[in-house]
Amino acid sequence: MKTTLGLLVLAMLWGPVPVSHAQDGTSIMKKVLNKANWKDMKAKVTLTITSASGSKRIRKIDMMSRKRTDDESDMLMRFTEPADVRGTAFLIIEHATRDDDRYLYLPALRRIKRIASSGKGGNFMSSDFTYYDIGKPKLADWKYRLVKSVFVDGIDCYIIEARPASPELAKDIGYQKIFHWVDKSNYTIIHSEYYDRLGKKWKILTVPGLKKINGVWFQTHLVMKDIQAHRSSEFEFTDIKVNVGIPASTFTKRALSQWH
Amino acid sequence: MKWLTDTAIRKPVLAILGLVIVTAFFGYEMRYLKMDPDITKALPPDLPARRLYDSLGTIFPSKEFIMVLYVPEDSLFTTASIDHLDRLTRELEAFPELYKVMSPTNVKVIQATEDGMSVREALGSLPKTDDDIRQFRDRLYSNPLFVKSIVSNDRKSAGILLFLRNTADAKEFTSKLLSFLSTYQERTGEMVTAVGKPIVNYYVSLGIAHDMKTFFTSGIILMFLLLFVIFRSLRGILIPLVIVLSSVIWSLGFMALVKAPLSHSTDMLPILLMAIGIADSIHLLTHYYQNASRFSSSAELMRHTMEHLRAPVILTSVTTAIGFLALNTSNMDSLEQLGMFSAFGVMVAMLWSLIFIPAVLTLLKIKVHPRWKKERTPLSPTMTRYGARLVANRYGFLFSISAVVLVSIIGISQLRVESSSIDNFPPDHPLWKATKIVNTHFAGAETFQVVIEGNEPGAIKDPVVLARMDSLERFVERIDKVGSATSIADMIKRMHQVMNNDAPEYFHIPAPVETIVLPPTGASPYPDTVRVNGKDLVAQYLQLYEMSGSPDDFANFVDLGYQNAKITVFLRSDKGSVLTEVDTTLQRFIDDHFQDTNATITGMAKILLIVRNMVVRGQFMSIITSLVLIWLLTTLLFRSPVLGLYCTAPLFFAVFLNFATMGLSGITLSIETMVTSSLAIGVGVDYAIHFIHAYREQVRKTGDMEKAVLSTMGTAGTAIVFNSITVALGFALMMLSTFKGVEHMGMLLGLTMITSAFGALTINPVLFLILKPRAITKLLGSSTGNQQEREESIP
Repeated sequence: MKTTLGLLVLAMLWGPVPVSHAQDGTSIMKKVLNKANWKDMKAKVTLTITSASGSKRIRKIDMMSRKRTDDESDMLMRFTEPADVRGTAFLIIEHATRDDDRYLYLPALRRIKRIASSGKGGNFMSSDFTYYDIGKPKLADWKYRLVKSVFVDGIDCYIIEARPASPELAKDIGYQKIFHWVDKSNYTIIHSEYYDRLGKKWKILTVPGLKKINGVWFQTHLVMKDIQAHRSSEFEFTDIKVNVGIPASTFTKRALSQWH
Repeated sequence: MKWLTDTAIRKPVLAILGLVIVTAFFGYEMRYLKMDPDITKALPPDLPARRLYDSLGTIFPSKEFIMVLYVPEDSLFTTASIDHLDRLTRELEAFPELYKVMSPTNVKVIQATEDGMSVREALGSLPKTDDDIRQFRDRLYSNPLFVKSIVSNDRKSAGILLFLRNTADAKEFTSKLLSFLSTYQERTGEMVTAVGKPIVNYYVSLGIAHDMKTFFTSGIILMFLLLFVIFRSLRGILIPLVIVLSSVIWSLGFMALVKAPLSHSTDMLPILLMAIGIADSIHLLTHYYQNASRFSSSAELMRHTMEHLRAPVILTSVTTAIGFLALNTSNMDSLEQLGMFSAFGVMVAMLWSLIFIPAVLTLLKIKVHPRWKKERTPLSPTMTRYGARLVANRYGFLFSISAVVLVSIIGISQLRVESSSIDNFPPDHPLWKATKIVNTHFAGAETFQVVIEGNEPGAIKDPVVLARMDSLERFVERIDKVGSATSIADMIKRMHQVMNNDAPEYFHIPAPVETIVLPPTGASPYPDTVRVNGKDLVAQYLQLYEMSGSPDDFANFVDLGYQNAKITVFLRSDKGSVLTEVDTTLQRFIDDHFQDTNATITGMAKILLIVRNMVVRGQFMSIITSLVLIWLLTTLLFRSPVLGLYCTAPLFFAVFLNFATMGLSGITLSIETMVTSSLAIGVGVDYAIHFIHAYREQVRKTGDMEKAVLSTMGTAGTAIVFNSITVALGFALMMLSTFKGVEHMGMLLGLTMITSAFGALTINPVLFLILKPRAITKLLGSSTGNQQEREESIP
């Protein structure tokens, strides 16, 4: 599960790259997916899931992440709300060559639990974001096509169509195709539309919050709407700090159970 | 109304053209007619249980599901069977209409591990050794949520639960699924079948379509034969057929126009109209032929015919329509629609009889048929003899009728309210077999849902609420026909056990302050007993599951904010008596134990129960309403409340006999059989009206009440017998239905036609002769003024 850790971090850090000319869909997406340069970061995250009936599940999380190697990252998420899960903590240690390690600490039981990796199409923390949606997609998994250029709210955008390269992937993630609106000025995705395997529009991603922090563009507010089930999920990031020098000992099982 | 028939006679071509244009319009509209077999639509949308049932779809992703049964020949737990089941599951998963497929080969199980709990796929990879198979089996049977829901208790068959996307067309998918399953069965030779509300709805649709076709073709054949026997002429056959078919086209077109669907009730409309609509044209044509030799001009003959029969045709049609409209008291949309559109259809048939018959017959040359000699038919002598017997032995008849009514009361006391959607299908129907498996080896095909609504987000995580839900489930499971009851509480119990070394004593909802034993750690080599907050414990179990499982795992048990939850109670029968028992038990428990939490019963079973109770209660109301309306109308017609009562007497008799027949033959009170009486009253009153109308004329003519009985029998009596047999035969065609309920309905409707005709021909004269009501005796003196009387009776 290489992509797992991509999680929020990579979604946020799809940074800007230089503009070139006469591009096709694949070369545009290559630029979009190009990693930004960062060592570690921390932020406060609010995950809100809203159902069709208006029922909400709100989770508040303190998040920390670092790059362990070029291809591997670690991430710790500590839940602060609601009160009954306060102190539970989720640790992900990414591995390039095998499944990631995932651990959850449960304070009521004073116990750390290893959690098995789930599929890419699996929903992240029961939200409308799948691990795939928030992870960094592998370029080779998709066939990209530049549909056209448009102006949306005064922003010059490419519309890129992405189709799964293999039927297995299509079945796993449940998408027939995705359209990405890519801002030409900074190569960030500002809007995406996901189609289910029947070809019906299924989910819409919007990015109401985009901020430049320490020279890096962050998607600070992501909204994924499931227009079929009428549910939606939002990630909101605040207090983002980059390259603050988080010690490696933070990302260990031992540290999981210690409340800061 | 006189101007109408006059115009038709004066400008026949224009009149016919007008009818054709309107028919073409309604015929075109008919293309938009939709079918809707969903019984929940029959309920008024503002009913609390219906509202909650509808809202279930937004709180929880699926209200109902389809269960595909996989029944291998020997055992489910062999390498081959598991492999096949896995493949079948994958093929089902490929249906894009499904958002979730839950099968023994793809479910996740909560399992105890060294460091607590893991949520893993029950199967993982295909088992190779017997040991693998045993482990797979144990993983499934260790989870109380799976036993009897996706694996049978006899370990022989598997259930695959299919949850449909909200956007998918259930009917289209069901038809796709069923054809997939039958190809699968042919390909592999293994038994696969399906149950669930969408499947039942699909088969009901098929049945409705089949019934409509059968009724229509057999109706036309029957009418053709009857008309041939009666008239032996082309016009005698074609004119009534055109009228009946047009009234069906107008009614269905009108339904399409106001967007009313063909439902399990309105599908009876065509056959009802065929049976009833033909009567008026038979009357008119009979009169036409009987008097044909006396006229030289077609227009004159028609004028005479219409003058004579316009009033009775209008009257009998209006009373029939009013009887049907009484269904409006039923409170059920689909029955109200049946009442409304059949009343419309009857009025249309009347309109056609008053316009089309005079118009066409004015255009055609008069045909004198040798068969028709003055008001006599082969039956007339028999009827006259019957009249003579009545006159001679009136007290004997009165005694016999009273005896029949008394016996009826015994029959009525045997009546039972009972109905079952499945029992409504013929016993060799595929649904039966599948339902039998589900009701024997799984938890059952019918469900109640209890919705628990908390006051604040997270309310369901409260151990007190969970414990209460758990006790409700265990309480209701004690009822024999309850297969199982499941909710999030069962998941919590299982997690609590698994997180505590899988120790059986932890298979319960954590207490508000729960004592748990922590395993030895590096710091301390001894186990540590601690007291923890139960709600935190529950919340963290759920959190753990959220991280490992998929959100759909819980979606049907509890909403996102853990504020509302749902208990599903599976029933192994959909019989009304079982539903009532479970419903009462649940409600009693809720009243006793859920004072501070809102718990409401809903689900398909509750809807069925309400529909049935509503129909049964509502129908008694509509029977009384139609009797009262008919009494008022006939009172107005005869200008005598007493004669109004005489008109309703045969109806009471017929309704009594109807219920007695049901009680004695074991036909239960159900939606279909309850509607019978309401429908029968409007049609059956015609015979009494005809009889009393004719009898008064005869009394006036002969000045003798006894002679009048004989002569009325020979004329109107004969017509009544013919008419009731014709209509009864039409209704009897409903016995060809796919559904047992409609079959019973056809039989009972036919029977009621005969009994109400018999009542009119027996009870009325006997009571007239014995009671000598003033409304009749006052006619004895006057032997003139026939014409005037007839004019008065036109409303």
